[in-house]
Amino acid sequence: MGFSDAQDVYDCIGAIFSEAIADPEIGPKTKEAGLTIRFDFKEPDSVIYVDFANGEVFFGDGVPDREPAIKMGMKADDANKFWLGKLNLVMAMAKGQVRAKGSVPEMLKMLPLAKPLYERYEAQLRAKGRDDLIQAAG
Amino acid sequence: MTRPFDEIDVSTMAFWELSAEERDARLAVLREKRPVSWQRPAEGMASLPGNAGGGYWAVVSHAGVMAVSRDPETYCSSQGYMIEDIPLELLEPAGSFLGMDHPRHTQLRRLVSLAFSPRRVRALEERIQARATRLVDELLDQGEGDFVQTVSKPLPSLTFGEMMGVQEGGRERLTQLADDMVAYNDPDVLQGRDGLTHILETLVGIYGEAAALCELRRAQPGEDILSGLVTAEVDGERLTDEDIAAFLVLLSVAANDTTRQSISHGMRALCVFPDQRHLLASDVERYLPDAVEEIVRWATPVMTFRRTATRDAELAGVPISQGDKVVMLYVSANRDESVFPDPWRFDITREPQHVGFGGGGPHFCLGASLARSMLRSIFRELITRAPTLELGEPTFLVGNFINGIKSMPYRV
Repeated sequence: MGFSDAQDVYDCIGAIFSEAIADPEIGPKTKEAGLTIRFDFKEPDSVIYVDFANGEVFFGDGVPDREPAIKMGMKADDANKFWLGKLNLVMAMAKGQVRAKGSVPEMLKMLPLAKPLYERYEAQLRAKGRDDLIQAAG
Repeated sequence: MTRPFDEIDVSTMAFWELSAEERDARLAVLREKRPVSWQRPAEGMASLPGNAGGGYWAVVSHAGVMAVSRDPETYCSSQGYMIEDIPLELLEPAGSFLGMDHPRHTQLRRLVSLAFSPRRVRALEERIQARATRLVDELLDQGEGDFVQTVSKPLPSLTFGEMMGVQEGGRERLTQLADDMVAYNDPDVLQGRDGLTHILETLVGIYGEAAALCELRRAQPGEDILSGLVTAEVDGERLTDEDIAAFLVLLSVAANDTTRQSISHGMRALCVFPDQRHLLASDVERYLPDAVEEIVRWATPVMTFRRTATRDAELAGVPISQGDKVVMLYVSANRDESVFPDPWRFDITREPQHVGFGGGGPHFCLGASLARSMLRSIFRELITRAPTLELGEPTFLVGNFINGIKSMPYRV
């Protein structure tokens, strides 16, 4: 099992970005970092664009044309693993599973902000009845 | 309350760019007056912009380094181990058990410790000696060249490659990646890029090698350390490729970038102190073991490592607060006048009590026996077979971590 279609990706992975931005502790930090990141997912094809400076998350056709500071590409399943704390980014990059373009220091500023969200992502999946995605991550 | 930073600043890159003697003139003042001093965050190319973290305690005395090393419950390794505030996101995949505390440290270190035991090293000794003989053959044949490329670099690289089961090609790539990785403050290596991008790229490179090697060793196991690791279990669980890759990063840096520097600095010291070279040559087998220890003291390949206080403590009468960063300057402790009289004299008859392999405790250098074996072999050859060897001025690596010599011309 995995994500059924692009909307499924937006409902699950997109939701965690919205949650990060709305979080009273993490939100201000992501705003301060002020990054824009575009994620191009495969299997299923889907795009998420996050503008942390303005606190906006865009999906699919709604993604803005402007160039993001960081571009990342990966399978949606690997993004799911990442949010469950089960993806080693360095190894994923070494194996070509994750491609990243943009400033490494900026990326490294964001990564620690993601960690506290792993548990919440998992809770969200459970609340949506998507235990299959948790199991699929191994 | 904010503490004032010490007037002798060991955090700037300008400090680390000084010659070793100039640097130590300042450290000597600290050793005498303030062996534990509060320093502003270390400058460097691998800190996140705008997030240099707070200051740290610089521990410069031999006694201080020993005390911190031997009290891992108070001074832990899992919250960072570099003088600079390198993000944990990069430190964790690079450090393996170097950046861990008991019990995980003990479990992982145990997996590879057998391969580095004095008994296992003795079994390798013959091949290490043969390799040293061959390298000195080449040095003599060539007549002149770069001492680092001809002798210092290949010996540990070949030995490491054999132990890990890495073939030619892969071995050279790994050695190069390990070299590059620790050179994140050297402008020649960075070429205008930032240190973090540089570290990530080298890490990704080593992880790529590790993934391929793991696959190979699972299919065709051999007698090497990697083959052991792909089948090893901790708490009933197999190590992941990521665990093994982190091991490979740690071991390739630890193996390549330390013994090499000891060989280069050691040979240079023997040239600068010809009386000691003559003494060693007068009875090699008698003087060699202590000469090797003096070479490690003299070289101090790893200049700094950091710990973090897990609780309030006191060090040399200075109160340390929980959460404080504590940096050990081995480079200073190995010149501590109270332990090494006339510390800038290279003296192969000294009583060995240096902290070149660390100050004891659970993080004491795992490869110490192996390093000693390589150093004995190569200096036995160099002293007996290359009596006319002369060295030119070295080019030093810029940084606050590895005391590196990038190149050094030689002539016989």
